[in-house]
Amino acid sequence: MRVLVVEDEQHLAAQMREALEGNGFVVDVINDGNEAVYMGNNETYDAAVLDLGLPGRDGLSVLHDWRHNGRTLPVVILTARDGWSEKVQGFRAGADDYVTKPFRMEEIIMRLRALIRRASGHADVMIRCGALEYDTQLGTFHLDGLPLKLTAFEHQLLVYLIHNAERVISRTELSEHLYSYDNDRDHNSLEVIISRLRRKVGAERIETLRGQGYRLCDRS
Amino acid sequence: MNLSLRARLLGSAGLWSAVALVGVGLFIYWLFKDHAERTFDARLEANLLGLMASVEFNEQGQLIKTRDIGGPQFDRAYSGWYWQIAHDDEVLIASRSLLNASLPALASDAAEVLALTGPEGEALRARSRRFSAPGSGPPLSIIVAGPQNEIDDALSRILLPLIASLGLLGVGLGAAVWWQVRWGLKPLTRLRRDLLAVRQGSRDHLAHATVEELQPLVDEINALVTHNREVIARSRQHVGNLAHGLKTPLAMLANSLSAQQTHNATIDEAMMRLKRLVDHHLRRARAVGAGYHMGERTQMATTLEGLVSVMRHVYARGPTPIHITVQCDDGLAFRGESQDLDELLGNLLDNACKWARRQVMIEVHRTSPEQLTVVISDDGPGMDEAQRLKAVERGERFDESTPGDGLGLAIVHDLARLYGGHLALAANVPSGLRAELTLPAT
Repeated sequence: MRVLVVEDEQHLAAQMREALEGNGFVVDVINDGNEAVYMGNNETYDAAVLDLGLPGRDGLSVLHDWRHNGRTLPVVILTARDGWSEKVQGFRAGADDYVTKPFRMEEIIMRLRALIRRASGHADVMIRCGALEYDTQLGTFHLDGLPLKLTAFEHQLLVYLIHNAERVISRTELSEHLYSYDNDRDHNSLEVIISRLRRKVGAERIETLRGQGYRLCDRS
Repeated sequence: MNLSLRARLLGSAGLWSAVALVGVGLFIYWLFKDHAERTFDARLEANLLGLMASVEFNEQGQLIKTRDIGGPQFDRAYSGWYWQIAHDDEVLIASRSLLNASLPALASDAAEVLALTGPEGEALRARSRRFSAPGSGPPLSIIVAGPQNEIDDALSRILLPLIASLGLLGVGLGAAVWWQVRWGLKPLTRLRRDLLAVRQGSRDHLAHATVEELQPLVDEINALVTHNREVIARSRQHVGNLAHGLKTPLAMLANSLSAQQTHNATIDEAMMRLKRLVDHHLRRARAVGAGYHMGERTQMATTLEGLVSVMRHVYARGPTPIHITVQCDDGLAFRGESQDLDELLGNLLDNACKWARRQVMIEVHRTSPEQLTVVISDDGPGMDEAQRLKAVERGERFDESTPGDGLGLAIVHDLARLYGGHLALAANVPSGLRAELTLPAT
């Protein structure tokens, strides 16, 4: 899952990047409001963490701009000002959740996972595809009740697939959600990872539809 | 003197009018009396001259009347009209009306106009003269007298109409002064009404004054109101910036500590206390500005709608979504700042949603023309009496298992008090907490 982090305080932004990447997210970090508007409008993200106190352009106006341009990605706002007025303004502008500074990284991660899960239409915290299970709170996979061992990239890929189970996903879409802005998108390596994943979760679970893409489906 | 403007104007005008009316009344009375006396005296004088010309001494040295003078009133007994001609103490001839009585003899230095007492004890006004009649005889003195009460009657006849007409004039003047004062002070009354409206928040500035004398005052008050608002906004901005400034490094510190896996209870505790201290003092500082600003009003429905939407988002992440119902009278507005209302209702709602099992109910009613009541009730575990007391008093945190800083209810309590309202916590039936918040309404 690819997440946009908009935070002007460099150290905090670095901490967030580290924590999110450590938990299986692909992260782009932006320090400036105007750039945030551009990235949010032109890149594909599964969620965004948006600090309200930004230089250049404040967070609320960034959020307004995204929503105005039809971007529906879930957004968690970071507020430092306690006070409900700012939260109300944030939600009016289209926020989906808030976290008050100072916060623990686990809190952000939990919120993001819940938002992404709900945005893809899953009400339950456990997403199941046959015997394959994903715990959105802990971020772990189980197959037939046993923990599944995956590399970081495999994990990212499978998380995206299971959130969009039973749907055909093109390679372009996959790479949009799996590579950060700075990384080169390499369709060949995608293919390698898919085949490795097939070995771990069962080849029949990941279908290849020629010319269209991949589909995770319940074949049990 | 601490008299009102109205009392000053009415009092001074009333006093002056009363003095003037009494003075004018006395003057008119005096004029009339003078006129009546002159007319009376002229009659006496005419009779006197007539008498003097119609008596003479005959050859025997007797004084005789050569013709009748005066009217019949001199012939009617004790009519009050008398004349007599005497030589020293000896009355030589007198009017028939005197019968056998006589008027007092004249002293040699008697004035020409004098007051006498008649034969029946009545007051008389008389004129006298010393003269010599034709023929040979001694020097004579003559007195012609008429009843004093003829003048008095005339005077008393005009006294009542005079008093009545002056009284009427006085009443008219009073009414005119009263109306003038009322009309003159009308701009002030309007100004006072406007100020009240500003204080109650139904308008945010005083209207342009209708009289130029008041315009400087209106300008000053408006400047003061604006300044007041700006000061509050600025200090809030500062407090917000301070919060932002303090919390970002605090967040970094907390995160780098947890990243290094140095889970030290003392450091955790210190961080927690730091965060709570910052929260506590920032919120108290924010609350200080509350309740002192004029001309603010905030729609209850709009604020509730915003907060409820926040709560629906935030508490949707729990396992069982919480159902929030809102019942709010139309057009109800809070007399105060929207940020403060957000704070008041946000904390209460957040607390209710945090503890509720399924249901949170919000009811807002106007309880008096100046007051509204917000009742927020949940179906959670509620609090016992001691907890409720503590919650309002100090913002103690009872249950560490649910996130929250425990300050919420105490903040609401403090803020409400600054606005002259109050927060009452009670047990909800069948379970949960029922928070009743009373606030000023417009």
